[in-house]
Amino acid sequence: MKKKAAPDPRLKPIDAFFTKRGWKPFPFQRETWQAQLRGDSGLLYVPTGSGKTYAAVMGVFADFISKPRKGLKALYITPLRALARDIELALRDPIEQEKWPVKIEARTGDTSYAIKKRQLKSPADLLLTTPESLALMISQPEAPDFLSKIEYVILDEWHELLSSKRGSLLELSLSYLRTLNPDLQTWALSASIGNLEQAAQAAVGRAQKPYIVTGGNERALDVSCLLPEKLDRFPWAGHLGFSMRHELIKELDPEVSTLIFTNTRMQAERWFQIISELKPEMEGRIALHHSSLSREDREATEEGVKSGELKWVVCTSSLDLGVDFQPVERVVQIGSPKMVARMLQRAGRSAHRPGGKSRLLFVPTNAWEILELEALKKALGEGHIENRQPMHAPKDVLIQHMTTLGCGPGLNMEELWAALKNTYSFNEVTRDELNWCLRFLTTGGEALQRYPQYHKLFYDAEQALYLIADKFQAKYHRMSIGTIVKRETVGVSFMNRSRVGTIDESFIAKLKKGDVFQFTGRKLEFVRLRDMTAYVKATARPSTVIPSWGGNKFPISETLSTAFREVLSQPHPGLEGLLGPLLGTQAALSQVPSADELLIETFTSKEGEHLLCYPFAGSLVHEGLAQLWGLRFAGREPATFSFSVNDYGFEILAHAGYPFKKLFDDDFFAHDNLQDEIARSLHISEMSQRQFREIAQISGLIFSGFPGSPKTGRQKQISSSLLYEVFKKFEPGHLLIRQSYDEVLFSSLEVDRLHKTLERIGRLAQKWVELESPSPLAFPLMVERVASHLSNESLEKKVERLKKTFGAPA
Amino acid sequence: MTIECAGEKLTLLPGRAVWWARKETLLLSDVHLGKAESLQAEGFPVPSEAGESDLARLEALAARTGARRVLILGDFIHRHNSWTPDLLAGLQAFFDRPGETHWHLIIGNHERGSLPYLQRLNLNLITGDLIDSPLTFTHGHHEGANGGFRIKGHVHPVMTLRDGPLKMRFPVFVLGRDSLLLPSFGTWTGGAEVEKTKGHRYFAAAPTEVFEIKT
Repeated sequence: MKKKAAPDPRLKPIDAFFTKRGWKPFPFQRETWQAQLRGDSGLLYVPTGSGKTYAAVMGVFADFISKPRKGLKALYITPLRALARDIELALRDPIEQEKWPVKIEARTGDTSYAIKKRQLKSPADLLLTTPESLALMISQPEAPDFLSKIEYVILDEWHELLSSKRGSLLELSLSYLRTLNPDLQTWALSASIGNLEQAAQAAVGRAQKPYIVTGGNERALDVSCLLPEKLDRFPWAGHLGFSMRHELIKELDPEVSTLIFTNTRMQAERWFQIISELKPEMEGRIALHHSSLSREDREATEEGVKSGELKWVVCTSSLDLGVDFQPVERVVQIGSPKMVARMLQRAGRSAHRPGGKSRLLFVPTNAWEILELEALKKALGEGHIENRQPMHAPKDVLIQHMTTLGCGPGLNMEELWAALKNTYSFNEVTRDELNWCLRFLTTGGEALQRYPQYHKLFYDAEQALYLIADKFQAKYHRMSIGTIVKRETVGVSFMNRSRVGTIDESFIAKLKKGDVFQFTGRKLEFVRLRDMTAYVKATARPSTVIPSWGGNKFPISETLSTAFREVLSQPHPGLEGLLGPLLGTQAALSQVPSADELLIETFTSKEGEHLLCYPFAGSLVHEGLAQLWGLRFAGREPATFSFSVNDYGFEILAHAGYPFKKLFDDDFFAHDNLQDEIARSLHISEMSQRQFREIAQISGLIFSGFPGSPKTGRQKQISSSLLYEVFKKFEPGHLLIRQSYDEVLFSSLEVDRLHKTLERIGRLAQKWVELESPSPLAFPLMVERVASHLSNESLEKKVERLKKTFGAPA
Repeated sequence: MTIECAGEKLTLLPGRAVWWARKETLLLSDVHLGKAESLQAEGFPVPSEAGESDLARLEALAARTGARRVLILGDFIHRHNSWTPDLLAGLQAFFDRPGETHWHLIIGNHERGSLPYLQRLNLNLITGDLIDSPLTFTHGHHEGANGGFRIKGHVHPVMTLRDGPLKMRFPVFVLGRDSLLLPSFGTWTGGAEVEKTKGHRYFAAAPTEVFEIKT
């Protein structure tokens, strides 16, 4: 404890409640309550499931009980609606028992219009809500009255929001609340994060010094690895892990409540199918949960876990957060979690109570992942955990916020400017940039002046405020608030219109009438597509098609990859028999690089010349590095390349006879002009154009449509790419175009990490190996080709080459 | 690249058109002018240049070949809502220029709503097929009853060629037993990947030459 203070008398009712229950507050709980009552803001860092909700709210309740007053005084913001609902129920309990004069209510996307209306008239003391619902409240004309009495804001699972645009949106919304009440107290709750101080400062804003409370016992964590029975047959590549199915089934106990995490929805569908087939007697006690299922199905599954009716749930990150699953005793993780924090978070889903012991069983999907688990344990043992960086002042979110203010209280530019200066992430916005955003909203900017639909705000001289142009613009804006960009999906329904879930448009486009596909654990026959809904009927016919969803696979984190490089060449006691075939073959065909060596393999095949390099720095960095080296090779001898990347390394493929090794020199590690050089690769403009889709939607350039409206994702893509071209052509300094470049550079390509990686691998001893056949490290890159391209050959030259291969003799 | 169709010599041009020397006729299809304007009408702010440069290309090609007759095999205009006053005025001026060239358009499926505007141009409109023995010219959106060797458009055929990491998509001419399918003339018209069929020949329109693709 940092300060030893006399107990605040206002805490008496809280203490009485704890005593009645036979509990004793944890030191971190008491410390937080005291700090809240002193008027501090801060961050509470405790492991998930150790009593942080009570820590966060009881100080606030104590204040309200000691001095009841009217109006909405506190917000509890969670990343999930379901979580808001759960916490509401959990908090109602003590309030009703103790008859505290405190009223709490949830206000989320699930709350009905009538209730929302009533909440405005007679507000609760504390509202449980989401970042989007808060922004929506600000967009109401009643906002200043309704929100001006707020004294406390609690940000739950802050680490989940912090490094996303949802976090940026929340920072802006909070900045408005602080305009209304400069003494607003903000408390963030977080688990599993490396950069505490920064996270705390981002939560409370720059005007306050955050008070950080840590504590709660580190939860006991028992991580074990499921090992294959036949070691020599265990694959070098692949991410599904089906070869482990019999081993896993043996491990699963029908009486033990177990969450089985996978990394993708496709994997979840497949594993659900396999487990159901191998264990038909589990029917009714096993379920599937992922974000493409209908809400009803997901909620039913969540209820089933809570009641103990469901024993095994195959799920994705959709169950990473929130929802208190008391009965869950065990967590299975299929495939590498790729982040220390993610593993902790998932492990924490079991034994979700103070003092419980989390059990996690790791199922490797290929031989290399056994080493990733070793790396995870090492990082965990050394107390290394990932940082979460806030976004760099995303302008699309700022523009959305300005429109929100225009719809609600009216946008006062001086007030906004002052508010931004006090935020952590938007502090760097310049006056010029802010003025640009205003011009963009009032005139459409240089490129869109002719189109009145882009003149969203106008200046009302009487009130000296910028206001929304008309009620339709306001309506559209409120429908588009938020930063979670909907994917190009279509609904899936049975013929009787009962809803099954959502699925990628591109997948449906490939289906023909009568095709059978596996989805939501059921076999469905495709009947027809109408009004953006795929109609299906249940069938018993066999299927082999499983929908795949787009969405980026997350790369291995910097923390984990650093640990991985270290464990790679170290001895692995107890695992020799298992890793022997893998590392032995790698050593025999090539080399196992130590932490101060850089392995570069070359290989000649029918496809051409392959260069394979292994910096072990994560797929995004490798993507950038492959592009960069491709550019540098092409600068020395023109060619067309294709690239393949994974978390361990990358492959560059060129036409037969391309002299990679001869062209290579130390300049390949140069990093002085990194951004310019990457920007010169053609690929980045494609990536930034794709990135722009999200930006166009968030900034309100594109209306994503009414719920269930016929506008398809594909059309949206067309119009956002057209806008992109127009801006590039007619308004070169367009801030949103620049932002999409920056997002590609810093988020999609992790250019900072790329910079560090170049610096690091430049210092390593280079080991060049000419392969006779693909090594275990090369193999995954060659079979899981995720290709992108780069070329600096002239058009004529390319045509010439294709003509040579395909041209018929004239 | 010159090929023979029903005994007539036809030259396939890299500019995605065909030159029928004996009749001094230039053949092309699917220009889709006004696609940008049509999107603008639907609220998408897109630049109009693609259409302007297609028209310039058409003019240059007609001048270079010295065609006495230009025959457009349909879908010259993208949609009925493509007709901005600018586009109409531009096209009126285009077809009113003095010269020896006669312009003909076979009405395509995209031109259904465009007739009132097209009639204001100095352009001969043809509904149905045009027979100029031994060749029959048609848009190609329905198989007509007219026999003979058919020259048609409508499909926008393209073919993707790959060589190791190199991948390029070419508009193609497809020569069948009794038909020749033209690639789309317009630059911004998308394309339909064609599958190789036995007995057909494929000619790729590269920027500066046409070459036959091995089958």
